Amino acid sequence: MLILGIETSCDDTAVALVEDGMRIRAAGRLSQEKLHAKYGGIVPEVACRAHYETLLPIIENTCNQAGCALRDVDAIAVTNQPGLVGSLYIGLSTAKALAWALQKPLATVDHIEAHIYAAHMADPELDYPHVSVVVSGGHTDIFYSEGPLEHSLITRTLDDAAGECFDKVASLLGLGYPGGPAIQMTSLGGNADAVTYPRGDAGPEGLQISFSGLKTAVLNDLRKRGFVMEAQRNSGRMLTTPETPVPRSETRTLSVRLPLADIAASFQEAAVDILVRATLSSTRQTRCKSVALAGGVAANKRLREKMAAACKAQKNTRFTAAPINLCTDNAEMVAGLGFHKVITSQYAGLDADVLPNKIEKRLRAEVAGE
Amino acid sequence: MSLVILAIESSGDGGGAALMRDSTLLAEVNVPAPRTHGAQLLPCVDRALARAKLARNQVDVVAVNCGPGSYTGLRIGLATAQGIGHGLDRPVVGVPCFDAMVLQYLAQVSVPFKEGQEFWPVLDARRDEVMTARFVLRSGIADRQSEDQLLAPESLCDQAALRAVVFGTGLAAYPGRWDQSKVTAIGAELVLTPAFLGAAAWHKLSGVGTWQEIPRTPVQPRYFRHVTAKTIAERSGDPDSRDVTERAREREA
Ligand SMILES: Nc1ncnc2c1ncn2[C@@H]1O[C@H](COP(=O)(O)OP(=O)(O)O)[C@@H](O)[C@H]1O
Ligand SMILES: [Mg+2]
Repeated sequence: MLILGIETSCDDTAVALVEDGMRIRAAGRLSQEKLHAKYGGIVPEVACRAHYETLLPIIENTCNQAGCALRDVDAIAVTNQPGLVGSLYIGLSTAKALAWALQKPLATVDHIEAHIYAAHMADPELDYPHVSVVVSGGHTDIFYSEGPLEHSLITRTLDDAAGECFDKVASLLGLGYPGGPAIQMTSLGGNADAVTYPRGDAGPEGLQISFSGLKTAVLNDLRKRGFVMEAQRNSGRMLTTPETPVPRSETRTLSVRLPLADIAASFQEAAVDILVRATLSSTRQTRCKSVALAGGVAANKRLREKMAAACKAQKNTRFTAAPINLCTDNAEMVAGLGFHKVITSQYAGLDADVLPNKIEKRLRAEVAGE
Repeated sequence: MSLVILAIESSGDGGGAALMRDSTLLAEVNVPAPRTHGAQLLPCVDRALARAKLARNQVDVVAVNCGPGSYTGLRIGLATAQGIGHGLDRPVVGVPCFDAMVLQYLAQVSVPFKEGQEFWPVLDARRDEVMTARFVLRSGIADRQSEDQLLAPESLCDQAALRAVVFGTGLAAYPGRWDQSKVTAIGAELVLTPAFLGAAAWHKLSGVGTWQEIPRTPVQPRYFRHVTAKTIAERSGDPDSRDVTERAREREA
């Protein structure tokens, strides 16, 4: 069964043709990174305009690449939640119209569930239940997964998402946007023990995740080193949080040489530790023998290594990470998960709508308490 | 010649879909509530087709409002129209909003207008401005005399000919600012219907013999403003230290 997947929930326009939820026939993606770089973050209106202009041409290219016509497709799958409203509408409206015109079934897909499914695509042996760790620019969620479409939330970040934290710290260091890959590059050769940044309080069950303290600790460290203004000038933006304004006098401090590699490596280590700790607590709590890691930040090499080692050390827990090219937003995962919706007849109607906000998945604790 | 036109309108609060055979309306279905195009536009298309007793492949051309109008609404219409055109392998044509509005206004008011009468359809563009364009009645047809433009109500009144008719939902956005000694501001309730969008498309296509002759160029939306987010460079020294994404999300919410 051949599924056309469409993903436009944020700033990537992506299309893929996937067979039976696993075999990738063709895929195309246009990242808008360059369009948004000068704004220092994603501007929704810029994203929408670009999605509209590029989506149909990418669909055509992807079909050509696979050597098939749209009418050969068995169903269409599209991300309709969560994400930026206007961006989601480009994908959904296009998908609905194509499905209607071609008289093909349509399935709508949850972006976060699709991220989790990306781990499954590279590892067909990945079985259920498992603990799913989704770490991206907008999400840091850990789920108890009983099937491709059955996830209940175990824990979630109290504040910033992991990717957001990488992006903000990269920006503090003047490394540009997106920050995750930049931090990874800069950390090469750095000493991860050079600075001990706080890992935050894990809470009584070890499930608590918070990144805002880590971000503030890096900021304070930089201020102590008299570096804040320079970092701000490099990245061009004011990087203070409203709670910790930088006094005018301080912003005038001159530049100082910074051990960038050490700071990046130390920050990365702390961020990774926070995620590993919450993951291990989740497996203990659910008695799961298997972990799947996905989302943009799952592309981080140190996170993959350390998570793999930690899982092995904890009762030889099985560990799978989504392949690097399926970590950040893509349509392969959408077409892949869409297959499971289609084979279970979970179709979307002509009146399908977008759901921009994250649906509060039922907490694992509530499920267990039933 | 005979063309079956599927017309899609979603640039404002209302809208929906209409099917026309040339200038004859076959069926029209409007969205059930304002601003529900995201979910309800395609069901309107489906129902209009059924009421017109047509099959999908009997549609010759898809016509869509290309603006100006609500950005999200327009893009839902455009993406829907392009998707249908692509799926049915039919051309898609963009119809400028004001062309259709003038057509509808002239059809709905019973007073006859004199040759040379001026018309200015207006939509609210916020920030003290309306989007508009100038039309003049020539041999019974409203002829476009200007590009779409952004104007303050006062400058529109100054630029317009004496007794020019100013109409459209933009009027209500600036009450008391339409100088009635200069222009006739009337018809604030005009909401463009899919049928008149289709009629305007038919006018536009009147020289065309068959749908095969219509060029397959993607329809470009008419945005009336550039993206207003500030770039990093523009923001240095900006007291608002939050990320642009955060600010935009807050605006959207
Ligand atoms: N190698 C990496 N290390 C850490 N973070 C990364 C890496 N590669 C990408 N990221 C982060 O992943 C995020 C983008 O992931 P994505 O899944 O596209 O996010 P979302 O869908 O939530 O916007 C960005 O925050 C980016 O900095
Ligand atoms: Mg994502």
